[in-house]
Amino acid sequence: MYVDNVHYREYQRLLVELHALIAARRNQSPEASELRHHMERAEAHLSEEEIVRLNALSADLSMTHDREIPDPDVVARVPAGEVRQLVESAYNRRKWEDVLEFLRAGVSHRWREDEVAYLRSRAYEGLGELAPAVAFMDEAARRAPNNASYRALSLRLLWQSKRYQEAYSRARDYLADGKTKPRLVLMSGGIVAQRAIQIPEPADLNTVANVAVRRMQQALPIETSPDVIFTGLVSLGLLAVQVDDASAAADAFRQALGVDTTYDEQVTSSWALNRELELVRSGKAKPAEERSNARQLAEFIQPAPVAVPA
Amino acid sequence: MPKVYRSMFENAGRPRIGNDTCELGVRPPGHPVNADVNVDASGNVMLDGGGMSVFPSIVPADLKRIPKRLIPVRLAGKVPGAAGDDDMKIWMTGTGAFASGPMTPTLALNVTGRSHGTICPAHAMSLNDLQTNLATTQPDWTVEEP
Repeated sequence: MYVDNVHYREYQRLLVELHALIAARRNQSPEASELRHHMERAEAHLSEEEIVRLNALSADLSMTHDREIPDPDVVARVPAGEVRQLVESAYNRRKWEDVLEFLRAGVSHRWREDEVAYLRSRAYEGLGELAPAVAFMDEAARRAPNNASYRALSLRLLWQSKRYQEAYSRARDYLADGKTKPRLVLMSGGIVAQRAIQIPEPADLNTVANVAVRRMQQALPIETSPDVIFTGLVSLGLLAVQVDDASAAADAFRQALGVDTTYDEQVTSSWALNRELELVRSGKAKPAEERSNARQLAEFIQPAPVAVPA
Repeated sequence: MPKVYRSMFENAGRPRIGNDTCELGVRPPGHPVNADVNVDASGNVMLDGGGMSVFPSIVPADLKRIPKRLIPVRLAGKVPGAAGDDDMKIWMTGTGAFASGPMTPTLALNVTGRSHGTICPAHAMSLNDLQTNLATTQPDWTVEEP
């Protein structure tokens, strides 16, 4: 896999940053120049095949500043009338390289731009290339500001990329915004709950956790998906422990035990939930030495399932 | 003389002479980004194939292999993925095939791959002489972009 090469990953990250600067009309800035210098250093360790593939990524990223053009090679090879079907078929079979290639045939009249960005994000994620996956999901969110699912997916991808503080900062902003949709509130609460059991804790954790608890308590009754309700309740319980609200924590864990999820790990999660409930009741849930159970519980905080756009 | 292309910054209608990235010249040993040549104990540029990077053409098949940081963003409407500094231009010199051989009496083209070559010393010379010989080619370069 391309991502096995550390220099490939580094170049890819830099390329994503460079296109972000171009999109921000800072192509001529000292920062852009610095990025290109770093890219050149990484280039020395890349094969021609890797350069060609990164060039294709660069072409994909051009959509973030409205400069994308179809790849003439793909246009010549793929019948225009079949592009949509080919993309859908490749997507359903998880042939991620094919998805990316067919999308280069020029598909702007077949899908909305946010959908193209979404498909690219899922394809790069499927290939384990998370830097472009985040960039394209952010692009989808930019193109469709009212679609909370894109923002929720970006949060998850950031966390998966180990960009924890960035994910936490975004989650904090979503929680502070009264207009944030309930599903994104729950996702944001999940990010804060996971960040809360990392060391060192963010300086503003208790303030943010208090906001998260309040917002999640409002959002949960509106949610209908059992899996999202379950992870929301687990997150809420962990955050309530964080803000020393034992009653809210116990209530959330008890409710979580009653949710019928589709998770394979439902049995093991119930063990951890029962243990956490005991710790809360005995007033021992918060000390650092008891957080190992909380860490285990946090592993069950899964992303909200998001449907593929039609 | 082989036909070669190179992305370089401009100065008064000609490629900018210098010893930095995307200038007409080589980056010496110790350059903070990358050195293009090595110098031996006697001060001569080592004849190891190192030199000023060039590419063979601006046809799409070749441009696919050129790092896109070298293609100005303003060309993105013609070259997919162009992400280079817009102050750069793509310059061309020569007329012959992209094959290893003499460029001038003092400079040679060393083809290192399908889409890359270096203009290097044709014989032993100091780094200063190499820079001077490269600078001497300045009037021969013209802008040729997709």
